[in-house]
Amino acid sequence: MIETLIFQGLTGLSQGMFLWLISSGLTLVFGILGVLNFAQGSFYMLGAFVGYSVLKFTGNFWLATLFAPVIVGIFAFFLERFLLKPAYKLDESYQLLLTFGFALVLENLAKLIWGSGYIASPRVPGLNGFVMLFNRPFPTYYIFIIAMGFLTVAVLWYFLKFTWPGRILRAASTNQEMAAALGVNVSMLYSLVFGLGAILSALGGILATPITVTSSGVGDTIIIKAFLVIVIGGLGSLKGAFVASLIVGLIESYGVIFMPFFEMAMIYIIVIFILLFKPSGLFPENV
Amino acid sequence: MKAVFDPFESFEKFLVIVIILGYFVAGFFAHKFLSFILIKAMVLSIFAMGYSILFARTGYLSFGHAAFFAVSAYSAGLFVLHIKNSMLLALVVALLFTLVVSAIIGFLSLLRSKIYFAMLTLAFGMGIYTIIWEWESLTGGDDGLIGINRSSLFGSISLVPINHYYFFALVLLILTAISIYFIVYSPLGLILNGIKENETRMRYAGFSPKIYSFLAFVISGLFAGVAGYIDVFLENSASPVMAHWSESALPIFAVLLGGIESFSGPMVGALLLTLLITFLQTVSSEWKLWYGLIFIVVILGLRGGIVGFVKSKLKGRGGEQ
Amino acid sequence: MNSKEPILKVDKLFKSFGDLKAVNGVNLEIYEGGIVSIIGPNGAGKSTLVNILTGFLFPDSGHIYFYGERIERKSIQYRVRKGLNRSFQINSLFNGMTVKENILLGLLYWELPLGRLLTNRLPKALEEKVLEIIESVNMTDKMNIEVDKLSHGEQRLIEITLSIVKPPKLLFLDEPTSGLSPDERNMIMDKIRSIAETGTTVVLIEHNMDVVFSLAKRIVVLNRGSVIADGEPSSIRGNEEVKKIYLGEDLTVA
Repeated sequence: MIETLIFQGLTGLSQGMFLWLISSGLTLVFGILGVLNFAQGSFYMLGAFVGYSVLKFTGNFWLATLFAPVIVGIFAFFLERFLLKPAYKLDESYQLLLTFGFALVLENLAKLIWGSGYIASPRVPGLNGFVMLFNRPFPTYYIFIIAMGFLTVAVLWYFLKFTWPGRILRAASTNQEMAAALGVNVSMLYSLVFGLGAILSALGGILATPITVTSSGVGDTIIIKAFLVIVIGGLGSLKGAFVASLIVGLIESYGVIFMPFFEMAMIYIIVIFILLFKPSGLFPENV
Repeated sequence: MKAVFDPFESFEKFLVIVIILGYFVAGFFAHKFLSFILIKAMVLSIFAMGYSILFARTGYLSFGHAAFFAVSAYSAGLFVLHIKNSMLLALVVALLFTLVVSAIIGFLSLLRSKIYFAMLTLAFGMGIYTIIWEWESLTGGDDGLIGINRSSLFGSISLVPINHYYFFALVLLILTAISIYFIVYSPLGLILNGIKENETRMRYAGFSPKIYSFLAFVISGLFAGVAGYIDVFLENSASPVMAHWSESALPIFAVLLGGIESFSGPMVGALLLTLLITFLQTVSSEWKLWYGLIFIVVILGLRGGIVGFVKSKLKGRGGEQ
Repeated sequence: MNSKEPILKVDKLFKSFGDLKAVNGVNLEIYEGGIVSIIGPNGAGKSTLVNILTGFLFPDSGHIYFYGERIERKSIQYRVRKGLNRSFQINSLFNGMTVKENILLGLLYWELPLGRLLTNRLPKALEEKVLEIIESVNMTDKMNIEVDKLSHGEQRLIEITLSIVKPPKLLFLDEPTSGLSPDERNMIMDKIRSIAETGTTVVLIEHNMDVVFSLAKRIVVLNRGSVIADGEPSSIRGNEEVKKIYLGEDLTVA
């Protein structure tokens, strides 16, 4: 029994890492730009599809993992510059609507380019084996995902805390005018952050392809879970996003053994509970 | 925006009456396909007019109203399939279910700020979608419900022929327009506008804005229910897609296209949008892509909507005289 | 010591934003009647204090008693219904709506029976009351103009009027004369006097010393989130500590 619990726990952690990659993007973009980006799930989906194409073209998963996020990031950079920027002077609702429109277009664009079927990458060479944990084989790839998740946390944390651009970002999240006064090109900063958010999500998308089948509708599923993560963790807090991602990942994975078919319902129940009794989320306030 | 003392009130009323008269006249001449399309337009009009009570008045943006549309469609369908083949009772049951579901989702989604509201309505709405999808024994899952046939009203008025059903839908459209008119041009409409403009000040004026937002949410949910009810008997089937978030874009799009700040906007927008979608569907298999792109263009470029555009032209001319 | 109970009692109020202690252990008692002024240099915590007292912010710790009832965790509207209201430093009106609609929105909660929420025509008494209030601020000819198209002074007048359409027992006015011309300032000062005369206790947050010394009977000085002086205008004028923080500003002019 205890082995099963640990085994499911690790599975849950790896699922939580995918949620973290998308909800960290959501949090960064909201924290700096003040825009809740509905298309964050679409970037995840694009990461998977673009990566899949790169993989088919080069035959190398690592090249796909490198290029897919970069390509999606550049795309998002220009999307922000040309289509989102004009909306900053508008009401918050219109910004929301616009990203909602992006999601609508991107999902159907993906259908047009890649068809409406499913894709799945082959197992990754070198990571397709198993590690023995408590006498049970645990897929190496899951360990890799967990490690990647922690790696992105560490890199983001280091970047925000100790590097000059990171400090500018934190300054901009609390006080835009101050950042502008420091001579920061706020407009460029916004585009870069939007791109960075997309990179994180797209990374999640491509990393998921060897273990799950992906369709153009995957953006919906993942963005909804990410929203639930944000409601649990509190909007604007990276720490909250991380902890809540792991919580949701674990609930899903334990839910499968304790309440099969109802794991999603479990997440909703927790969300309702938090809404009623801890209305500001687990980690309110700032990054 | 100026609800109670709008100088264009009579222009708005005139526009709505003209459209309704148009539907009425068309009902005598339209062949089967056109009738179908026009009923679709009426369905969307009702959906959008109700939705505007929430979105255009209070400023709360819901991405989950497709779920209420679907809840109504499914409960009406299940009622006539399994319990009693009565369209009138089905309407009552459908609205009752919609009321309960929208009250629960509205209450939970309004517990936090506007930005959370958008996320929560999407999440809860898609929760309904998942339930419909997964609960196969009841809802038919992926396949949906089929064979939901029209019957007659009060035992004598048959709604089976589409041109009969057309006028039934038109009656519901007229009732909706009257209800919405009374809400928009009443103190309640002004209060909802006040919430959109300055929620904090509303508190300092003594109001509990959340109660009124909740009221607006449930009202808009109920009209989504009316729309879903008409639709399910038009299509003779219900499918999970009805509850999908992308369907929630329809009333938003209609409201924006017609003009968010006007009473007649949703009706104008719904008619145009239905015709636009029909056109796109016939010329391109990728119509949803075009639809999305036009959606983005409208948000960025045409914020007063078509009615707003016409009004500003009229206003300009009035100034010159 | 006044033998009467204070209508508002503030007990060890604290509020921080990150490292900044905006309100740092404020104790304060407000008694019925007259005009009390809260002054202090920029960043002294005046606005934060008003925001906490009127429910816009919740304190980190401390208590607020209004007529003996603890209200520090109560909502804005709860306090408003009990007779505690405010005006805003930056006008906070219903933009895009007319003067008439603004005043009407201010009155609806108090004057409209719930059963008439959906009536197409307003009750006659309410309609008359709206016109009467508009008349009282001399804006009858402008009542169908959208408030954002009015002059700054006129908007401020509407701002204050909105907070008193239902006369509160205690009214906080947050910098009511800031950004106004001398003429407009005089008009607003007259308005404040007349509000106090009708029995509303006024707490005036103000940085213009002319205004403060010509209106207030009692002055509370706030610095770095704490009360450093509290007393009659003459004693405040002579207070060494107050002089120090207002270094360079001449308190004797008024």
